[in-house]
Amino acid sequence: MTEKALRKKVAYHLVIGAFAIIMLYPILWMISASFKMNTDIFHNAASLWPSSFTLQNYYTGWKGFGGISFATFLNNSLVITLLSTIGSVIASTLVAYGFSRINFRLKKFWFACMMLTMMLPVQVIMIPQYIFFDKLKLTDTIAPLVLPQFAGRVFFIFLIMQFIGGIPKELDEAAYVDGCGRYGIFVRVIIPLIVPAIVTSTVFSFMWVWEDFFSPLLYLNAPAKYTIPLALRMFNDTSSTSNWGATMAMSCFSLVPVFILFAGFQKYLVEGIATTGLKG
Amino acid sequence: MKKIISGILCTVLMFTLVITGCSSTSSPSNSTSGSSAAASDSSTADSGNGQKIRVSWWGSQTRHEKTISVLDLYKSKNPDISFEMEYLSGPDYNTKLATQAATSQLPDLFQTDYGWISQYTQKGLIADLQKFVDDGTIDFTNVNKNVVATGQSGGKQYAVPLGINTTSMFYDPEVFKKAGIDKLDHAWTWQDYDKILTEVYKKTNISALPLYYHIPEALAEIIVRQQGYKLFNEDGTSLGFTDPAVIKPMFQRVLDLTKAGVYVSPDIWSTSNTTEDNGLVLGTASTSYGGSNQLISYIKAAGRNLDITAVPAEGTKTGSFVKPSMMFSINEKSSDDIKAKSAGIINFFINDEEAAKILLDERGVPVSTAIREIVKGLSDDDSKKVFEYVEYIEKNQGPADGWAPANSSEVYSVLADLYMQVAFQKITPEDAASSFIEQANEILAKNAK
Amino acid sequence: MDNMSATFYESKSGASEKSKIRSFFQNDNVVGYVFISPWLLGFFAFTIIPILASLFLSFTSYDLLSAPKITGLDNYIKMFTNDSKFWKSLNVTLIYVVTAVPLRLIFALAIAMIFTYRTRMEGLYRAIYYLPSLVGGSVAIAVLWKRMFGKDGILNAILSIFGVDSSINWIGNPKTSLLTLIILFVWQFGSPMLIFLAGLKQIPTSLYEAANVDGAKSYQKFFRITLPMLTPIIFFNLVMQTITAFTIFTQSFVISNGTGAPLDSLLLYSLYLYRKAFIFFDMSYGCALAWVLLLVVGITTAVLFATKKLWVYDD
Repeated sequence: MTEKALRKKVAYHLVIGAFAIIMLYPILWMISASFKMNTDIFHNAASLWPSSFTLQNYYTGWKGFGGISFATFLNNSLVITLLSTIGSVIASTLVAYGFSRINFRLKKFWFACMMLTMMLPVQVIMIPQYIFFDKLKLTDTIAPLVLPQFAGRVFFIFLIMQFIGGIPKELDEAAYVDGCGRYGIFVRVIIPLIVPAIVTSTVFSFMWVWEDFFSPLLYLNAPAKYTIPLALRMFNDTSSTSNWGATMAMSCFSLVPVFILFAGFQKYLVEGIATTGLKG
Repeated sequence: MKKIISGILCTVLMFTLVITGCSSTSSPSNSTSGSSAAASDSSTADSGNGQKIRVSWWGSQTRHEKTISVLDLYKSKNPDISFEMEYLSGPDYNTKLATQAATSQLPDLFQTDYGWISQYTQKGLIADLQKFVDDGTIDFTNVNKNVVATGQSGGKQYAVPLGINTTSMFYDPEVFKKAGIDKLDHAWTWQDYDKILTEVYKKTNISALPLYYHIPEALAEIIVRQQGYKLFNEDGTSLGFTDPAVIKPMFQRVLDLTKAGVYVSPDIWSTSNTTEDNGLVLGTASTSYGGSNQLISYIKAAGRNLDITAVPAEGTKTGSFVKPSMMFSINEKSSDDIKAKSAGIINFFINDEEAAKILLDERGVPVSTAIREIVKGLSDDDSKKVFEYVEYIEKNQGPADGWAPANSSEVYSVLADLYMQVAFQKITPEDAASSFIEQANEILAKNAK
Repeated sequence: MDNMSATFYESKSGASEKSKIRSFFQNDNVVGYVFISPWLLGFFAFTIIPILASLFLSFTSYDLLSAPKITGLDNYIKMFTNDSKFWKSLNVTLIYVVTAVPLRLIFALAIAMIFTYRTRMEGLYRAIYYLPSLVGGSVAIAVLWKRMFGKDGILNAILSIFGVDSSINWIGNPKTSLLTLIILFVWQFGSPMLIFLAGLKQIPTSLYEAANVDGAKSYQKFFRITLPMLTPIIFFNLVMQTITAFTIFTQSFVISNGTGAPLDSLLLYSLYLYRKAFIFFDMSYGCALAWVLLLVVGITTAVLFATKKLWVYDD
């Protein structure tokens, strides 16, 4: 049995490890490119190891544009991302509970409406939405980027619904017998059981808001308010020189916060109600 | 019932929290930029006195730095003015400008492009600057009349060119030398072109990149002019020619030379779209193309010497002409006072010596001949090569074509599609030529309404 | 734990239990609306007006720069009768959805299954496998992908090790370029993988313990317990990834530099829509395109929901 277990373990590490290299190669290349001279990135593309190691890309990249450094962009991105994430996760949890556990009039209709909103490409809603926020004099503020998140995000609502669906209704019933109302059940029974779904939503929300460039592009005018993805695109102007070195360097840099969040949260992601999981 | 009310209250509270959260968070982001010695943002901060002018442009990191420096210089001389600057890279700028136009939020002063400005002028979004030219706010004394005219349409001065450039071919002189060709003559013809490139390919086994493979409209414009036509008719409601034979040569050439191996295979160039992964820069191709001002970035990216020459002529007809590399325009909806002040800024960009020393040839060859001499004196050999070349074309050109009409971007996209289809041998040059005329005219017919 | 899973099964069979719970709460109508109120408020405040506006605009001629003019069904008629690019982009998108979505899901599930095996390294592995998804549609992808699939890219280098002499540029060749985009979609399988993982962890251990007692083999456990218990999550991922793939934009935008080249092989529907709306200034046509897409995606999703009863376990 132990020999079998050992063999299994070795096989696991071999397969997963080998595959990890394939998964990682592009990322490694990106990191290596961030330390290469701008011209080397394309000239000497095949080698993972920079022929001449330079920190120049990080320096010029961090400097940003017109005296606005990446510290500003980082700060802007963090503010928008954190607010959006808090908003969308809290709202999504509430809405998901409403849709999955409570039977109310027109529920199916609203649910269908909700799913439909997800299917319309954002590019066409953006302009009418832009005009709407412009009427409210809210363009060039972060409100149009953050406010809609407080309505919840369909993806998370639907995701959390799936997890609530997996919780036996008898638990609700038992809590009811103990004197809990709908709200009590939500807080005491449901929330503790859907922590993995909530954490998953948090990570996704953070990631998706973090990398979004289209809405910030439309809504934010002053470069001092730009977010990181928007700033990253500014290194590349096809009509003149593009600073690919700086692009790579700052792309790597922009991965750091998301990666930290992921690494920090990933324990909670998978420690669900059944802590022991699948055992062979 | 109490629960419901408290539930609603909670939700309302949540929303108010967001709103207050927003207004309080916008201030720290301002303060960080202020503390990072942001020249641009400090101007927004002390906007208490005087007028705020919104300026926007597209470009690279260098252009942003230089433009901001010039605007700061202007502000130091005119303390009653402050700026709100917005800048992005090219494609993002276009998307943003269109969105701003949709809500009448265009900046007061903004950079415009020869290729798409008519879309805006036709909707009455851009101001006529003639009166500022007349009252001397914008001084064209040292600017060639042909160049001034490139900012005009229908007798109105909608834009002021900030610099000029022209179409050109870039090549690697070392590769050409190996084939026994020392220097290419600006006055060469298509016959020379075919012969020389074939020669170079045979001797060095290095292929050439087709001229203007990504924006074949620039090539089409020249080819059509070489035969005495214009790409678009006067009012932009159809093409300026009806015979497919006018446009066919450019399709025929890409087919023939690609088949012969003289041109790089299309699957290589179909997705290569930046200077840095261009074949000429990487040393895998003997030629490439670009606006004359792009030569500098090509040389910088390649790290070796590159040369510039004209798009070949049809016999003695060159077809090439200088164009504004970019222009400044003013929002029609801005107040008269702002318009006048913006016009003053434009003049500063084209005529001020100090500004010129900052900008150099960042926006192409300066339009004012006086400024051009100053900048030339400060330039290195590569820049001088560009100056000489642009001046050569300026001397040998016919009158420039007018602005591309509305919906031209769709026509260009059709042309690019067909060009690529011919290169991939999916369609014959004959079919491509007639299909182009048919599709282009259908698109342009929309302008007749 | 044991009690929970035991009652879980009983509740499946007894419909009377459900109605009993329902009768416990008299004012569910109100409670329901309280809980969905954030979404409902947002729907009315930010979403419904723009959606209706885009529907309205699809019946007009609107170029962003001047006021819309009503033109009735013109946009739709043109789309179906005289727009080869519409069909081309629809075709590209369908191929993309049909291949990329199942591949990504199978991949994600397989990896998630492997990750349930406990080792000290699992945290690290999980992070590594998730990393590609963090890159998203960043501009860096454009360079990265050319590096992988270009003429002198890593794929050709690997092929040459196996004696295949390939000098094609996988991205630039219209026959293979979509494949590289599909690989990109599959490569970024992190989000469905995480959801699968979370789902796998939610399966009560007691079920496996019971199966162990019965002496079930691993594959039996997979098909009898894991797969059925996971069907709600599989369903979720299937629906969400399908919608995502239908409306995906950034990746093809970045890789083809916004053009859909070569020969429109990367012209995904949303990219075409974007080009129409923002590059060619035909916002109204873009809106019409969007509503046709909505119809296509809506029907697809409805079909998926209709099949739900057949294979999805529980609600």
